[in-house]
Amino acid sequence: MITNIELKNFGPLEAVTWKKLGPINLVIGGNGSGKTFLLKSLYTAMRTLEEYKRGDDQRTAAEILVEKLYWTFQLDKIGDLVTKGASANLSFRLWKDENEFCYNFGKDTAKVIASLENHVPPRASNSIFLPAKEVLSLHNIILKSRETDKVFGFDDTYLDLARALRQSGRGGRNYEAFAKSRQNLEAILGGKVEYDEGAGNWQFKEGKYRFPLGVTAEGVKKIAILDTLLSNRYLDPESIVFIDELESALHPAAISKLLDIVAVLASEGMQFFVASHSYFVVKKLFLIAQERKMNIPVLAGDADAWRSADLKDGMPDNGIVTEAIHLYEQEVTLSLS
Amino acid sequence: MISFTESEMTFGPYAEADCFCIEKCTTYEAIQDDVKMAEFLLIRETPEEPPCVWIVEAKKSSPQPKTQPEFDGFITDIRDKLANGLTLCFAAVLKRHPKTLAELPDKYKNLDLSQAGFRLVLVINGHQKAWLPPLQDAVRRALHATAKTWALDPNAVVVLNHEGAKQFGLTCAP
Repeated sequence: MITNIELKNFGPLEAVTWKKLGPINLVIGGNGSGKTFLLKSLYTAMRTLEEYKRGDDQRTAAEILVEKLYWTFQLDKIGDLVTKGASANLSFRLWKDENEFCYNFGKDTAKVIASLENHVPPRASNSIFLPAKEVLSLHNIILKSRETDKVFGFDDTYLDLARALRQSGRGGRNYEAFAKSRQNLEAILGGKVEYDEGAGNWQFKEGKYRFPLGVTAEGVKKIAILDTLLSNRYLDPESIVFIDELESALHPAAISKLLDIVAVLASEGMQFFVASHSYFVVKKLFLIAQERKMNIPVLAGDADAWRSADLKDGMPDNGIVTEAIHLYEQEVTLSLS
Repeated sequence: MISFTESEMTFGPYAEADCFCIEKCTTYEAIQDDVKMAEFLLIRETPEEPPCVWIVEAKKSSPQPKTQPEFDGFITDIRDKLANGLTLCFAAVLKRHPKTLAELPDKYKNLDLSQAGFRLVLVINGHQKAWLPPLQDAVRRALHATAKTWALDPNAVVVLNHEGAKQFGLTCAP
């Protein structure tokens, strides 16, 4: 589990320190505050740690990291990630189960990260990033764009996810919590999404009927991705899952059900980082923290500053909650004034 | 002028002609078995609009939505009190109860029910402001049929805490 992070001069994130992280961690803030950037920075670090020394891969951690940063953030050179106008280097520090992984580089860095320290043992588990947009209907396009054409457009979060979905399932019994979570996910879907090898596309199966995925709702595709990753065991209880804008394309009732499943998976050891600007997501996670007496750290980015809190202690004071109150105040004033 | 204490809040001072304490009136005494009632009625007037009657219920606290049976019971209780308060207001003005005439302030006797505005107001002492929006939505949903039946404004149902009650002139400083 990632326990602490510290970023300096990392794009829009001039100074972010987040300590005592938990099984579920929430990042909230306005558009452009850097929520997605933060999740991607953590994801690139975790994938570097996971690819390092895997199989016969002989690349150094620094070489893997440069590639991940380049293809995830898709800039001319990775030095462009350094905050504009910053006098100091970009600095990234992460503690995985108290073992530190850190690196730093300056704005002129192109292909070589000179300063990197890794004290995290090699990992067999996989982390995944679930982007705000669904990928199932773009699956083949993403793979062609990146694997054949090798062009910018779909970043590494999309490519890694498309590859993870392509992975065929392993035999044997699935983890008990995963099996139960899959039943709950499929209950939300009202069916199953399966890859049709013959047709070379994803299809939605409801009872004995099959539909092309293109005619199903965006929310169905989103939930189907998590279902597939649990079923093919790309994910295991040590995995870290980054979910960007969990609420996109989902009805509030589906958000609640999905977060209940996230809570079950988190209790089995999986760690989640969720970025959101939805009142429903914040409120539901607040209730999960109360019901399960669970620490749910929240990092709120408002007005150029990042503040950390814990949903176990209450609803955070931030723009999302403030706007809900503001709308209430407008409504009351309209009625009583 | 009248002032009184409900749920540890001091309501008023109101002009006697504007306030009718329905929960303590003799009209309600005669019908109170199994009929829950709001605390009081208050007429609010502005130069531009017809008079508006606020039907007010006061509470000390409310359960959180996560304790569902208790929360649902609380909402039902509030709905009954505010809806019955509105109905009793109409019944009193229409002189349906023989005892009402003696105790009803003149301003109510002359109220034009077809033109008057109505507000169903719940005041909860000590409630955090962040908890008010979902509670207002829940009370508003519970009173949806009442509001539609009586052609009330869509925003006629309001939930305030002690700070809101003071801001809108329902209570004075403790």
